[in-house]
Amino acid sequence: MTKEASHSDGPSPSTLEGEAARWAAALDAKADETPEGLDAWLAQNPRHAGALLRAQATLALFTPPLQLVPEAEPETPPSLSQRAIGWLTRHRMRVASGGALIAAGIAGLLLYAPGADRYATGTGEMRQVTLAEGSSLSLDTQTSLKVEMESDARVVKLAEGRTLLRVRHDATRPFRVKAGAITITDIGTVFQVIRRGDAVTVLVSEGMVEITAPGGKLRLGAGQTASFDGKANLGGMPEAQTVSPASIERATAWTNGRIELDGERLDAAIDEMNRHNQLKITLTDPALGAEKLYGAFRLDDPSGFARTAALSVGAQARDSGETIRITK
Amino acid sequence: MSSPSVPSPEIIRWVATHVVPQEGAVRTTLRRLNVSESDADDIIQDAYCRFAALTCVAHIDRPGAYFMQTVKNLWRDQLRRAQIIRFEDFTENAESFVEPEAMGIEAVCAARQQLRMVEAMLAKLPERCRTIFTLKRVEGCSQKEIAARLGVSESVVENDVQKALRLIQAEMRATADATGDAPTRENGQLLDERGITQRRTIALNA
Repeated sequence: MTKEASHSDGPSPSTLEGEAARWAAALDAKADETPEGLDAWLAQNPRHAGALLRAQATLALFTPPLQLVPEAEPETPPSLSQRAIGWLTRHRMRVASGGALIAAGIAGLLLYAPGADRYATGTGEMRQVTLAEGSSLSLDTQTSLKVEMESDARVVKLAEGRTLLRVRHDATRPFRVKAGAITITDIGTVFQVIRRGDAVTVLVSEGMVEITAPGGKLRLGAGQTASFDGKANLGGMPEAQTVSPASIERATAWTNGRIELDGERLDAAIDEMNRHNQLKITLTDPALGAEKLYGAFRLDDPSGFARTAALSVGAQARDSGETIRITK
Repeated sequence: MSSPSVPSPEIIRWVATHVVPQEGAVRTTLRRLNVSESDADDIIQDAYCRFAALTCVAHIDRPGAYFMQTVKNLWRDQLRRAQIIRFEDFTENAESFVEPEAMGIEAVCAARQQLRMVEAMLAKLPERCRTIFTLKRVEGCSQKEIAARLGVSESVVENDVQKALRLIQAEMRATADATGDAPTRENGQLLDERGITQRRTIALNA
């Protein structure tokens, strides 16, 4: 108990638990109302949100178990509405990209060159492109690329941005992605290429690719990634890094309209959000940029992101309408 | 706009199912690594803050491991800030963070662990608190319905819910791993605990 007194900062655990228990009990009494003063209490200390969650989750242990562990009851089919929501979530991207595809078709007509199609996405726009031979490309925001179909090769030239490719294997017509000086040749696979200026990162989630760079050749298998820094790697070659399935899922979460973070830096996450949104987030204190973030966020909800990110690094988000500033 | 809000029912359920029942195991692990009680409290509080900031949990397919991983990262950050160990020391010690899912019985295990915990907690509550929590759990009664059944005012029920919650949370903090394979010595050397870590699957850096 003497240890509790030496607790580093903020209220002692038992004080915090007591306060959180009061709010959890009040919320449990009237589920539809936010008790008066709760918002102020939550805003007082970033730890309060966590303490409230712990108290509410502890209380939720004492609700009927069927509600609590739905995944442990596989024989209960999902309700119609749940299925409808699932379907909507799964298909929203596709429905949205249907419109984009039509737009892309028009753009393709305007920019028509023999055997080549150009695709570009603006800020906040994402696009799904299916090629005639069956391969498909997801284009992230602010991405520009050209598809060239030739009789002996399929070539995507990535000028800028990020694309996830699901390639239909065809040994007679290799599939290549050219990103500046780097060429990635597919050997039947799903992989992602990011180009920011001259820096290129390749991540393979299925199958294998072969990369040709000024410094030599490199093969990447499923679960491997390699980053080419445009300047530093003119002579040398990067090593293939192995990444976990969870990291791959995080790295490709943008295809589902999400950003997933597992200890990434705040400034990098803000760059990513800003690429996707007109409403920009700025950091007033650069030191905050090194803070680590965890969690999943919608790419199209900059204010939600700024609010939760600020909370988890002990800062505040101020929305001025034109920008959102994260400040201590 | 800049203030945090009440967590969604989805997050609360997820934390109740996968996080709260693991708290004992996490505390035991931290204790085994010679993390002080107050530092462990800080780390676990911070982990809950991280979960409160989640807007979606559907992507977390191994929730127990996620909790362990979050705690492990927080502990690593704390050590880095304090600059008291070399990174290799961390990597080695981090092996005591085990992944319950790796045993392939995650759902069953979580449900059973939760049931055992709930029963143990119920047994320790004062009588009226126990009645209230049993009515909630077994019959899914609201506080209002419970008040009507017991013939007391709603504020009495709310007070008892609050009191019971406080007791249960304090108990959770005091109880280390309830699953039975907690080490007997609090400050035992990690290498001496290898028997335990080998029986379970080891979580390395994800």
